[in-house]
Amino acid sequence: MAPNTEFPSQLNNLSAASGGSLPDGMDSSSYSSQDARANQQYAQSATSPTSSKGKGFWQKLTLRTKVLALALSLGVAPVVGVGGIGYFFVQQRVTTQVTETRETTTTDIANFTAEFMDSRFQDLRTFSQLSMFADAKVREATEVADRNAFLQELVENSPLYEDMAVVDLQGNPVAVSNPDGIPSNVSQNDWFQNIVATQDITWVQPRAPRAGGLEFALIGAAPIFDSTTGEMLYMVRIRLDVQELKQRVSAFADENTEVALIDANEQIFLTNTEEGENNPILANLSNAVSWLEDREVQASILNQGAGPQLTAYAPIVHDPGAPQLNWSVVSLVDTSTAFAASRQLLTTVLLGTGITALLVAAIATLVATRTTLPILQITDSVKRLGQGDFRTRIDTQGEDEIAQLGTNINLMASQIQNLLVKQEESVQQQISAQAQVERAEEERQRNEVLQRELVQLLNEMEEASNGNLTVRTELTAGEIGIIGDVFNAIIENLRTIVVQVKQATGQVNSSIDESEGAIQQLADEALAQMDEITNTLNSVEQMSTSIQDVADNARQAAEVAQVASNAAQDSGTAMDRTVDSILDLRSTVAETGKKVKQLGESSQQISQVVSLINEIAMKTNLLAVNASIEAAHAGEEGQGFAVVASEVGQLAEQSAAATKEIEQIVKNIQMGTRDVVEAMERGTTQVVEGTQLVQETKQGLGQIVEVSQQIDTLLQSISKATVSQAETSQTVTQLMQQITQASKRTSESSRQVAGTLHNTVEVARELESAVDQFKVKTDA
Amino acid sequence: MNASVLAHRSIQPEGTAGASCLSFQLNEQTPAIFSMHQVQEVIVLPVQQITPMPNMPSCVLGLSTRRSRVMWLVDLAHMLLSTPLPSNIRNYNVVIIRVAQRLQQQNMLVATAHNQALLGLIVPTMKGVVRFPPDSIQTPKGHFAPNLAPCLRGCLLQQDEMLLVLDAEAIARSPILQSS
Repeated sequence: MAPNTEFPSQLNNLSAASGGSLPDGMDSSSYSSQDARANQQYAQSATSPTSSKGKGFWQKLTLRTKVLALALSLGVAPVVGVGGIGYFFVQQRVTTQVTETRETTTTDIANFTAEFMDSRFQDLRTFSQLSMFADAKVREATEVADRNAFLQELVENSPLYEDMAVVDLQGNPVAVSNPDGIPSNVSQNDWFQNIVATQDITWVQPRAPRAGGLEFALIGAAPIFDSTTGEMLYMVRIRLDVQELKQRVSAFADENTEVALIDANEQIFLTNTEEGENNPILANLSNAVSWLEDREVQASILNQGAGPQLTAYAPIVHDPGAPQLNWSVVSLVDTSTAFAASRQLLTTVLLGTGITALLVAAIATLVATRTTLPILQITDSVKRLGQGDFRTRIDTQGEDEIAQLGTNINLMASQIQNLLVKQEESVQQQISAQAQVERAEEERQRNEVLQRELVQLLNEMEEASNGNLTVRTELTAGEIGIIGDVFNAIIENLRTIVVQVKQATGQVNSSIDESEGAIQQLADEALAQMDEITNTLNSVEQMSTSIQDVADNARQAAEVAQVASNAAQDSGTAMDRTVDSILDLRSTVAETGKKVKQLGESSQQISQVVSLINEIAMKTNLLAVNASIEAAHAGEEGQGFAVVASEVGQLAEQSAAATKEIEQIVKNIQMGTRDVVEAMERGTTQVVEGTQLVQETKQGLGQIVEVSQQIDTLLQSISKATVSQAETSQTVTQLMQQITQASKRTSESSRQVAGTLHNTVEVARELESAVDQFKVKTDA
Repeated sequence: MNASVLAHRSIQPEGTAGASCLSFQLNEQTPAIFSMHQVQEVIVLPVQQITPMPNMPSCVLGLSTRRSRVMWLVDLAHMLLSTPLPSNIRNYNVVIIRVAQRLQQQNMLVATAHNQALLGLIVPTMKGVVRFPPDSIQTPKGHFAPNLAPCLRGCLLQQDEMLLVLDAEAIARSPILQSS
């Protein structure tokens, strides 16, 4: 009972939890989120029995959320709205202004071009009245060179003109500023025919550049009438310098602006930039809009593939007196350039609106949090009071309505607490006084009754202590009666148990007698099993030994196969060497054959030489005969000469005979060499056959090597298999031994079980005799 | 070889004192001799140096020149024995005989100069010079070919063969050679 001592600490806790004055936004938000979660839990627990799920979304929100939402919507929405509306109007204004500016600029260019062309018209009029051509006297006084020089000077003095020429009515040039500037006859040109038709100054529409030229040609022409007769004599033709006009038009155009002049044929003949003619908007202008037909000042944003461009149009309108050329001006600006100011404005408005909205949101959050915090605290405290925790107090600060509410709630809680405490104390004092008197009287009476009944009960129970389970106590009213009843029930249960024990011991004895025989049989069979396993074990050991022998034999066979393989490989190497030597022999034989053939050729040469010698011998013989004839003709004086001649003839015959012998010898040599060559060829053939035989032998040896290696591999696998077999048989042996031991243990265990059963029988007998002491049936 | 050497030697001792004669083969079986005095020269003439002449007897092979003198060439075996030479011979052995000028006025087929006429007789084989005494020449016996007989001066028995001694003038005068 010390609420007063606890209040201050709770108050301190509350004030500590509220964190004084909310240091910053982060703390505020975290606290408020916790607070909101707690509020939600409270709301669920408090309203769960009565709440209906049909409540709206708005009602489910906490007060803090509602206040925040309201403050944010009131603070941010006007700022965004005002910013958006302001931007919209200013942007509209800027767009209109830019478009108007473009229209104005384009109209300026159109006016300039109109003035330019009008002044050229005046120039033409002036040229047509030149006295050099119009006045007959002056015309006759000047020569062609002078006229040419005059026109040339005119062209050079004015940058506006590129070329000037005067032609007669047949189209032949009379005077030219540049002899190359005009063809020899112009009667087929459109301006010429125009003047013939109208007898007035004419402009032709800009003509596409002729082959080789880059610029459009702007051509004007005027008739020249004789000053006295008024008869048309000549025509003056001028060609304007388009480059000059282009520069002047370009001076009007801003940067990033494309200006194009379009003639009555809707053809672009002048642009201020090089690539202006390729602009898709210009190329498709007549397809996109009907400005060229309307001929009114227009401006619009067009997009023909290469980005949107602000396009302005203005017709070129000339003075009423001058010929109307129906030209137009079109100017193009990229929208990115034209509306740069509008975009900057948008950026500024967006930035300003965003910053303002953020500021307003921050302030609204802060104010809402500070305002709702005390109400939330009061709600929390009242909830706890409602749940019976009257020690709860509210931390009140300030003098406003919320603070007064808190103070009153605190007062109400402390009064309720005090009332409760006083009521409890008075009730307890009354109860304790009455109870003491009644209890003393009752106890004395009950003790007497209990003593009398207990003595009777003990007398009745005396028989049971001697093992007679048939006794029963007399049933009386009161506590002792209940004890007697319980005693009767116990005795009855005991009797049932004893009867059951007797039956059970009888069954145990009989079943033990049966199982004893079975166990004895089990032990005997385990012994027999052990003997058989021992026999099996011996067989397995014999098998293991024979497997070991097989493994040894396989290993030896593998070694033998290895030796055979090595021997075969050595033989293969020897065969290789044999093949090499046979090949050497073959080349040697081939070389010898070549030598022998050379020998045959040499003998052929010898026989040629021999035939030469033979011929010489024949001729010598003939000479000797002639010498003899001459000697015979000489008569007696030639006798000596005849002798010499006959000797020469003998020599020649000997030479012939010797050459015949040589021929025979050479023939023999040739026959011999032929035989040798044949023998060589046969030898070569035999060598080839021998090589093939050796190769075949070598292949056979290789097969032997492969076979012996296969045998080796097979034997090794056999060896491995037998080793694993030996291991398996050893494992089998060990398993058998384990089985033997297990059966031994089984036998011993069964013997032990038999002994234990004997003991069990005895115990059962003792139990039976002990149970017999109880008397379970009333003696008849 | 030995045979040829021995033949030379066998002839040699006999002819040392006799008249010298030119020995040759008329064909393979028939040896013959000319008197050395009737022989001008013995040459070997390539076939291409003979110019064939038309309208001549078949034994006349044509014309050729020797030392600025034109002479007729006659296949002797063809003329006398009607056994012409094989056509594949490239060089002819020619015995050039000379005959007296007196034959000039007759229409004979003999070139003449310096009172002597030359005629080339082609023989298969030239053998050499032999000598034997003039009295050992015998009159021919037995049967001879009809063309041969008029040209035969005699025959000479030598061991087991018979040498025909031919008369050069008779050959030159033979009607066979007369142009048709």
